[in-house]
Amino acid sequence: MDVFEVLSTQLRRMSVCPHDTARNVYGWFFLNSYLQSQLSCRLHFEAQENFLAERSAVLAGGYDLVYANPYSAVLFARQQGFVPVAKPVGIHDETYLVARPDWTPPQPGQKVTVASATDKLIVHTLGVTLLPQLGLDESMIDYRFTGNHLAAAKAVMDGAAELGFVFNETWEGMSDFSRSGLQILHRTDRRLAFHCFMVGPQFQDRTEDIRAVLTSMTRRPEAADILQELSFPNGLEQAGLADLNALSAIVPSEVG
Amino acid sequence: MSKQEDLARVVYDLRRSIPELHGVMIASSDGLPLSHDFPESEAERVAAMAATALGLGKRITERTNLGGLHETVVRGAHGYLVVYSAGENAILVLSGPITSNLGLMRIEARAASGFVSQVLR
Repeated sequence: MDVFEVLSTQLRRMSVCPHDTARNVYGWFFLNSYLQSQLSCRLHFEAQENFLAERSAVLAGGYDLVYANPYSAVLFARQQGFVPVAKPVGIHDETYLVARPDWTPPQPGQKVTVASATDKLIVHTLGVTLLPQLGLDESMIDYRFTGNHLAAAKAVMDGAAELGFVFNETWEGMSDFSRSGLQILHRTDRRLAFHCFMVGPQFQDRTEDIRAVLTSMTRRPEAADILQELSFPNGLEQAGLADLNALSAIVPSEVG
Repeated sequence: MSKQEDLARVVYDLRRSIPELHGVMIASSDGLPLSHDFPESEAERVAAMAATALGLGKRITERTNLGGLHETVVRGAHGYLVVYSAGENAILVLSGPITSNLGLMRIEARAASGFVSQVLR
């Protein structure tokens, strides 16, 4: 199919978790170009500004391919019938529970403020499981929602919160100077949560093609730069609905 | 002439009018290369960069009430990459050295963009 025939195909739309586009928006445009040439279809990608707006847009319909954070992935599968096709090899979403270096445990009965991007991301869900290790339960916590992971870390550094839930990728991307203003008290290592590519119901006649294109990128020299831009050094591997089962068990059923 | 030939002619004419250019590309607004004279190995990357510049430029013009996006100019120490909107569905990309005449590029690109827009209508 030549490029002009591709231009006459139905326009498909791709959405990507804003945390990932914020790191390197060009990498996602690069992947979008690659997918169009490999799949011979028109694919429109536009970066969204925040987690909840992106999730709402996909749940409202009209998207055909998404790169979803774990929490959104469960909702997209449940509510819109998206199916996972591929996920990054060896990359999992984990939560670090952080405090300032001079942090001391709270006195009995003392409330603790915990900074978190939002309670509608898996980083929060995982973070809550770390609190008992400090002898804390939900009744002792006031959450301060900051909108993004970096702001949660900053709230702890600035003293606006005593503890914070920080996404492992955010922590790794922070400067040494910023990290020196915090200490990691505990971290999850459940290897349960992952971002994944998912195909929407109107595009599922191409599910296997999309899975094949994504999972073969490590074997194609022209795709190596894209994987590097996206920080997927080991490429992408196959994913399916069964991979979401464990995640689905910890995402509340009533959220949207 | 076919659409492919029409667009190839636009690329050829731009290079002839502005010989110092390093490369010319016409791409879909979603970053699919349609016609160009960049090395084939660079085409997808250039188209993706142009789509990125267009996407960010559009977002900025929308958020700052500047109206529709006409062009995005990226200037480095050694040269320019300029992305022009060519109708709703396409973009025109010109890459040139730091000595490039931006005024001439704009004049030539305006005419070329109008023609590209008609071809792809």
